[in-house]
Amino acid sequence: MSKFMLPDPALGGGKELSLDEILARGREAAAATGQIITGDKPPAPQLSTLAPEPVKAPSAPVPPEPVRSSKAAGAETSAPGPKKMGRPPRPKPDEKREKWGVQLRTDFILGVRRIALDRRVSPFDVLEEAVGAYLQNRSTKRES
Amino acid sequence: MAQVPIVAFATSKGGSGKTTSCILVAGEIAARGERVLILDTDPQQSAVKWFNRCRAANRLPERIEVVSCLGEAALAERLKALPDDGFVLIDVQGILSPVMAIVAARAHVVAVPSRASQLDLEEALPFVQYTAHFRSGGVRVFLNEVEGIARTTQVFKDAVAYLQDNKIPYFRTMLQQRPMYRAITNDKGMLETLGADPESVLKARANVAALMGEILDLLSPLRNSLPRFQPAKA
Repeated sequence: MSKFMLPDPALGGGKELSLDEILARGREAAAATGQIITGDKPPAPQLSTLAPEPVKAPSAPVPPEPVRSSKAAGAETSAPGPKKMGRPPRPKPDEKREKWGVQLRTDFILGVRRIALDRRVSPFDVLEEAVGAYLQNRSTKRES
Repeated sequence: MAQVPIVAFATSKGGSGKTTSCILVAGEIAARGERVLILDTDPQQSAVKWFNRCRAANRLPERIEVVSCLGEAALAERLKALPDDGFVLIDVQGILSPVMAIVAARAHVVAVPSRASQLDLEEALPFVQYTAHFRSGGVRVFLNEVEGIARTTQVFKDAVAYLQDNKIPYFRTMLQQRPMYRAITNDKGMLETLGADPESVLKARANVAALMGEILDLLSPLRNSLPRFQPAKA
């Protein structure tokens, strides 16, 4: 390990400093003067000097937490076992939900888009106008 | 054992003329018969490239050696094995790097080049303050690339006032801007061997020698180990 004698005995007391001590002093000096040291690699903390964590004696096994399900709290049945990690279960399909067998026609969408671009209006305006015209036409036919 | 004097040309600002002034001072010391070892710690390796260019042009400066020394560990190792005589000059990169800590702690003199403007000096000031954490003296700014006509300008006067107001220690000598100095950093070796107008060379050398003299004054605590200079050969 290199040793350096500070040139100024008034500051260093004439004692020799190691390379790590010199670099540490440089970090202090940079921090004090509001500067950033480029390319600095602070030393990694030494594991041997850290205080060891207290090791707990093995105790009785803790009962695992019950796995929460989408069922009501009263209907929960706690199944003993390790908690499952990973993705939550996929929700069951709602059978009451009405499904429309509608298929979008791309030529219709493109037609609406083309009209909207020609008129420089929003596609929703085109659809609103079209629906309004359709309803008016239908009511006219009923009256006649 | 004699303690070889170590002079660093350092600042955390780039483009202030560290390598140029280092080469010029090294040439003037070598012209007086002393050996000079330049430690190039700048990753750009400008001093090493200068040395190689001089070698290729068959203008290798006598008594000067340039050694690449990259990284704080390499510099620390190199400083353990210094020659017994002559001078060691350290050329440092223009940023605040870990190498600066070693330079601030180990060099006997730190010469801080700066252009003569308040803007440049404001950037040099934090570096001077940084070195104050290692030492209470031996660090001085010198104004570099000063044009002759610039001394009468308000910018120059403001720069000098900034130095004085902030109590920044500085060399009285300022290196003037000379095309000759640029030529030296190309491949022309030293001022002594530069084949130019003798009067211009003399003026340029006198300018550098004045700066060198002030550096030697700062090294006076090492007076016993300082080499005895031969008179300069004009």
